[in-house]
Amino acid sequence: MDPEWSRLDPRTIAVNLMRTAGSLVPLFIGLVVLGNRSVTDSVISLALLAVATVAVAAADVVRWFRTSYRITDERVELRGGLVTRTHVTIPRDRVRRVETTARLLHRVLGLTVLTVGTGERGMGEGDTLRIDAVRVAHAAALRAALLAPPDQITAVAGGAPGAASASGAEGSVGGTGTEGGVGGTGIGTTGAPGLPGAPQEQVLERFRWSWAPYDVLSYWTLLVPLLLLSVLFQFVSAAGVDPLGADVVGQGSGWLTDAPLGLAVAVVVVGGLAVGVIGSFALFVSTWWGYMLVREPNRTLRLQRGLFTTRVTTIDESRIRGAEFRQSYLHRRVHAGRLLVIAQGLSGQEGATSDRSDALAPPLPVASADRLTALALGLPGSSPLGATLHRHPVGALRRRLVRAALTTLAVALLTGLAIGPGPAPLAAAALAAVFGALALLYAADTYRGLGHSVSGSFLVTRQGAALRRTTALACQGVIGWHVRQSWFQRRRGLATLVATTAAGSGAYEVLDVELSTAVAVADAATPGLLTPIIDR
Amino acid sequence: MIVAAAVVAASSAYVVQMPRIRYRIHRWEVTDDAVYTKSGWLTQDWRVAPMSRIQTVDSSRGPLQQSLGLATVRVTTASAAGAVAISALDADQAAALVQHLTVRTQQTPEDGT
Repeated sequence: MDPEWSRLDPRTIAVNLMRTAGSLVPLFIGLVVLGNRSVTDSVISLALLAVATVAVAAADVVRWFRTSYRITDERVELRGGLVTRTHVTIPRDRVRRVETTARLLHRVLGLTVLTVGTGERGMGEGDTLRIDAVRVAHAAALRAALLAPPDQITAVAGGAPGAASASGAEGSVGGTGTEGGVGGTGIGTTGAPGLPGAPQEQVLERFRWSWAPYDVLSYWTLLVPLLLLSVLFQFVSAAGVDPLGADVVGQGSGWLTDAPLGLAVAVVVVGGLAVGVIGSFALFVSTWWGYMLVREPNRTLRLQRGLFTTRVTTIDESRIRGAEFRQSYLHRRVHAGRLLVIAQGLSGQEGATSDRSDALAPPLPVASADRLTALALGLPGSSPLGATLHRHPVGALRRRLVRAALTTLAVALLTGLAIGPGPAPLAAAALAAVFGALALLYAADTYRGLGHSVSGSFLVTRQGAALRRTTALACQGVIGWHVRQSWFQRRRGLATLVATTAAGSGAYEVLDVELSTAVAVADAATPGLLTPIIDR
Repeated sequence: MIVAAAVVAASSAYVVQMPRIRYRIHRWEVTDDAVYTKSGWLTQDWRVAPMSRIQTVDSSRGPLQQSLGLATVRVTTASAAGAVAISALDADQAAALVQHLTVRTQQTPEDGT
């Protein structure tokens, strides 16, 4: 028999209310405090605000009443929607990722948001399901049950004492919800392996202060001072003060212009950098505080982190297909980078790297990344990310040099046109020369970044200069190949080999290798699959 | 005038030649183990989807294809980038192919990932 539907924790309403109230504060200030109007106008504004608040609050309550979820032997289901009813169903054998996220307000009230993902993109809405929000203990029980091995699958809350029931009396729902949470801890899997402190857990990595500098060393740190300056500038302008004419700024800039130029520049640069470093450091601590990567006994990896918003991601180990190491140019200079896991259910979607669910660790030194990769992938030896890679043919370098030359030519022409005749063409030529030199260096660096190898049971490929990505994809995770040849590639006898997979971004490329090499690589990774067509 | 003439010449050359080149290049093959296609003309693309990894098989016919008695067969795998399409097959042949692939993929019980 399917278990009853469960409601969200009633405290969710309080969280939503506080959030709504918080978002109305700026409006309140704008309308009533700053709005330079008569008393009646202010009263009307206040009344409108009050009506809006009540309406939103009512909507929150109704939404809470209409949202319910249940976990049966076969499915996870969520019903909800304020006006349009929605019903999301995920078969339990499709669950690849379970994540809990608790923002500050949630944590104060002991709540957390449970996200269940299948990792099947192109399915739209049915891909993920968010239970927003339940008690922390109940979420832990749900998480453990959802990731239990198939032979231990049980319906959660089925027959559990005091399971939160949607049909329960309104007054007692709060109580039953809590009991359901506590009672739920014991069900799902025997031994509750998901609970912290269980004996068989293996901690693979922990938070380290020594990694902070690598996180601070990012393009963001350089960008933060610029952003802050522009915000300040706009704020001052909006307040009706000409920023350059204002006394304070005027005095400051006056002092700057009076001082030796070098000193002025140094002050601005150092000050801006200090702001950037402090900001990045604060972000590092708030994102990665309490970071821990743990191997749980039931073949899952648990990744937890966060100071204010805490986040726990659980990955089914049998769904892990490899790892990716990303190095910005800055990180390459200090031999560090970011480590991502390639797994089904963790989308390879681009975004702020610190916010990605597939980030296995904060930016870390190469040696630590290699060690952690081997541990996380369960490999006895060294990490495939550290494998020696084959160099790509010279044709690949030529292609990149030609691209750089053409880009330089275009830039030179455009600047030439923009500047027009006169003495300026000399400057344009100088500019083009500098740009050209940089472009050629960039091209050479991109070429040096290219590499591939089939190392052990992994296909390893590397590409990129500004962001160098090294990916190790398990050969057993390759579910198809593309070989692509543009007209230019055919002229040089080159091809791009693409391995398709169900994990991560779905496709990993080996750029610009000889056609025979592409076939050989594919053949080494998945014997006998690609050869039949290329031969004829 | 010269520019217009050049544009007309180029586009008629394109209209006359491109389909021929494409037709010469495009290939497909279904073996016991996999589905293969080759397509494109300036950029050419070989694609392979192993039989054991195929998740869905479907065919579609646009209005133009219907009037010409053609159909496109599309095979998808669990990868977002893994779809393999065999475009403009003879409609009867496409139906037979879909039937064959459906039967074949049901015989390989892996979960395709």
